[in-house]
Amino acid sequence: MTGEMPRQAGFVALVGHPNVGKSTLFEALTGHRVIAANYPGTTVEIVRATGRRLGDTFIDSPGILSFPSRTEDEQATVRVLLDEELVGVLQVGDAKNLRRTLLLTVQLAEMGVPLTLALNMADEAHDRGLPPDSDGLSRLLGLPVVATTAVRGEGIEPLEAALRRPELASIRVRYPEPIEVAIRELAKLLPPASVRERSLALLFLAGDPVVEEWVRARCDDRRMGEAVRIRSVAAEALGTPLSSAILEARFEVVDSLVGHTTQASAGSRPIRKQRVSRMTTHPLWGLPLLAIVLYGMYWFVGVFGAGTLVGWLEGTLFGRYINPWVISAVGRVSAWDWLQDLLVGEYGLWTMGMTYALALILPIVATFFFAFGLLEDSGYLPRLAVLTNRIFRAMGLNGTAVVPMVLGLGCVTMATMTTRILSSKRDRLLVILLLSLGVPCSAQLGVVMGMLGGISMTAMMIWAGVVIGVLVVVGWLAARLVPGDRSVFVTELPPMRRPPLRPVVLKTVARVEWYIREVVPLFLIGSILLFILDRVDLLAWLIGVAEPLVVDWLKLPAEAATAFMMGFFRRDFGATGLFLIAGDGLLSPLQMVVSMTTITLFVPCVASVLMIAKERGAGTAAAVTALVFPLAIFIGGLLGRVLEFIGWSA
Amino acid sequence: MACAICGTRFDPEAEVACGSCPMSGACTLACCPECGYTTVDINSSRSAGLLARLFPSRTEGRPVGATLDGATIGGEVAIAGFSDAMTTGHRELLRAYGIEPGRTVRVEQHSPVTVVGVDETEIALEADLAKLVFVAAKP
Ligand SMILES: Nc1nc2c(ncn2[C@@H]2O[C@H](COP(=O)(O)OP(=O)(O)OP(=O)(O)O)[C@@H](O)[C@H]2O)c(=O)[nH]1
Repeated sequence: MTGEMPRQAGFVALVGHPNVGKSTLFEALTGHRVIAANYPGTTVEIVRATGRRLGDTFIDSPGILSFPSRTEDEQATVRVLLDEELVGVLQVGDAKNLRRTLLLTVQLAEMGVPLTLALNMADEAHDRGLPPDSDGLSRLLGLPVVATTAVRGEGIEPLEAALRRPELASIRVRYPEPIEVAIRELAKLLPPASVRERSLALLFLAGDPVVEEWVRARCDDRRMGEAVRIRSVAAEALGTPLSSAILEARFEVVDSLVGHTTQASAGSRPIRKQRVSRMTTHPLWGLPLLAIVLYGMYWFVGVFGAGTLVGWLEGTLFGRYINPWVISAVGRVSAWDWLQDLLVGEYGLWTMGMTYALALILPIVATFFFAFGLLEDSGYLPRLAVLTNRIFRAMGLNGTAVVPMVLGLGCVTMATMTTRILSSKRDRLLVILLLSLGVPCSAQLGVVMGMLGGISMTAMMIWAGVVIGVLVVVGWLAARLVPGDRSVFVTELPPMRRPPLRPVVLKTVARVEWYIREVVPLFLIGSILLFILDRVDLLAWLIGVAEPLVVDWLKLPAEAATAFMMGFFRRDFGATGLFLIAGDGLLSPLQMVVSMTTITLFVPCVASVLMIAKERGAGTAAAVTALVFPLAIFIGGLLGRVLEFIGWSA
Repeated sequence: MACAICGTRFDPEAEVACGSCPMSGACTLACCPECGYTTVDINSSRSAGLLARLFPSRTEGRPVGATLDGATIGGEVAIAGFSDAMTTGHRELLRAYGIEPGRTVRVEQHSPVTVVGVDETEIALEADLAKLVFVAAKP
C-alpha cells in the first residue's frame, strides 16, 4: 500500500503497557525528553510534542495494562482515547511478551482508530531466543508492525514510515451472544464518541469508570438508566462478571494469533542476567544487596555530593572567589545601604539565596537524581518494593509506596506527583501524609547531615530514630483511621538492565532543571519577604508571637524563631537558618537535635503544599498542613524533655 | 458459620445444639448442631471480634486444595482457577498479567512475597492474593 497518499498530520497517541518504553520511543520520535524510568508508571503527566520528521503531534500516555482502567494514570489514558481527535494510535508493545501485547492490540483495534504496532525491546526478545515476527503479525493483524529497540534508536525510521500509513485492524472478536445483544442495543443509545460504538459499549459493559462518567455526563437520567439496565440484563444472562467474559473472548482470539506466529514455536532460553535479578528479591541475599545499594547511594550523595562537591563549591568557588567579588561589585555600584543589604546582606538575595541554592543544594540534588536515575533504569525499584512490602504492610500500605518515598528523599514535591501510580485513593492520601511529615528531601538531608554529623553519631541516630518512629506510628494510626481497605501488592518485575548512561544523564539534567526552576524563585521570594518583614519590623512581631512556643516549649533561644518562620517556606531553608545560629554557638547539642528533628517534621515547602492541593484538592492540603505543623512542634518539645530527662548531652 | 470439627455449616442464631441452655440469651458461643463442638461466634462477641481483627488468621478464607502460595519453589504449576473470595478486579489484573487458568507459571520464591515467572516477565504478588489462586500439576 506504499503508493497511497500520505495522511494528514494530526494527533497520534502512544499507548501501551507500563514500562514497555513508550517514553523512550516518544523521545526518539520527537526529540522531546520525558522522564523515562524502569519502573511501571513513570509517565504520570500527559506530554505532547511534535515529531522530528513527521508533522504529527505525539501524545505520550501513561501505561495501561488492560481495559477497564484501574488506576488514575490508566484512566488518564482512557481519557486521551475518548477525548482527543486522533489520526492514529501507536501501540508500543513488549516484543518478548507477545500475548499481553496482543491483548491490548485487540482492544485498540476495536476502537476503530488507525493503528500501528511497535514491538519494542526487540533486543531483549532476541537475547532470549524469541525474535519478533513482525511480518507474520502484520499479515495476521492487517496492521503495520515494526520491531524497535528504542534505547538504541533502532527501527525508528521504519516506524516513521509505517506511521505514515496506519491501518484499521482486520481482527474482530466475537463475544458471547448476551454481550453482542447488549452491544447492539447500547450502540443505539450511547452518544457518539471518537472511538467506535462497539468499543464504547464494551468499555461501558466492562464497567470502565472513565467511560461510565463520560456517558453519564452526556446522557439524561432516563437513557443512563436504560444503559445500566441493558448491562445488568447481559450480566444476568451470562452469570459471570461481564468484564471477565469479555476478557475470555479476547484471550481466545489472542491465543490463536500467537499460535500463528513463528515466535510461538521458538523456545525461550534463560539468560544469565536473570540470576542476578533473582538474587535481588531473595529473602536472604536480597538484604545484603540492599545494604550495598544503600551504602553506595550514601557514599555518592552524602560523601561525594554533600561533602566533596559542596565543600569545593561553597568554600572555594563561592566563598573565595565569587562572593567577595559580588560583594565588592555591589558596594561599588550601589550607594544605598538597604540595596546592599538586600543583595549581599545577612538574608541577601545573593549571599544567602543564590549561594545556598547553587553551592549547597545543587550538588546534593544533582548527585541524588543521578543515583536515583541509575536505580530506576536498572529495574531495582520494583525489587525494593518487594523487599520492603512487609514494612509498608504494617503501615497499611504495600511495597509500591516505596517508590514515591525514595523519590521523596530527592524532592518531596516531585514525589507527591508520583503518588498517582498508587492504585487507591486511600494509599495516595497516606503516602502524601507520610511524605509531608517525615521524608526529608535531599536539601534537608544535606543540612541535617552537615549539622548533626558534626556533633556525633548518636545525634544522627536519635534524629533518624525519631523521624522514622514518627513515620511508622503515624502511618500505623492513619492506616487504621483512614477508611478503606489496604490494597494488595501485585507488581511486575521488569528485567534488571545495565542502566544506559546517556538517558540517565539526560534525565538527571531534566530533573535538576525542574528543581532549579521550582526552588530558586521560591528562595528569592523567601529572601525578599524576610528582608521586607525585617525592614518593617513585622518580623520582630511575628517572632514575638512564635517565641513562647520556641522558647518555652522547644526550649530554644529566641533567635531560632526566625529560622522556624523561614521553615514555613521550605524546611531546609529553616534548617539552614538553624545551622547559622548553631554556627554562632547559640545552640547546645541537645538543642540542635531538637531543632533539627522539629524542622524535619515540618511540611517540606510551599511548593509541596501547592502540589498536594493540585493533586488531591485544597481541603487535603489544608488538613495535612494543619496536622503536620502542630505535630512537629509537639514531638520536638517532647523529644527535648526526654533527652533532658535521660541526661543526653552529645 | 462452619464447625471447626465436622465442617457442618449452620446459623448460630437458629439451629444450635445449645439452644435450650438457660444462658444462651447473652452467650456468644455456639455449639454445632451435628457434633456439639463449641465455636466462638465472632460476630456477636466484641472481645473475640477485636482479637480476631488484631491478629487476623492466616488460614481464614484459605480455600482447600493446592494454592499458588504453597507451590514448590523452582517448579512449574498450571493455574487451575481463582477462589470466589478474590475480587473481580484482582482476577482480571492477574489475568492481564498472564496468570490465567490453563497456563503454566514458574514459581520462583515465596518470601518476602510470591514471585512467579509468566512468559518473559516476573510478577510479584502477596501471599494474600497467591493463596486465592488454585494450582494443579503441570499437564
Ligand atoms: N533493553 C531495552 N530497554 C528499553 C528499550 N526501550 C526502553 N527501554 C528501557 O525500559 C525502561 C522503561 O522505559 P520507559 O520509556 O520509561 O517506558 P514507558 O512505557 O514510558 O513506561 P511508563 O511511562 O512507566 O508506563 C527504561 O529503563 C528504558 O531505558 C528497548 O528497546 N530495549
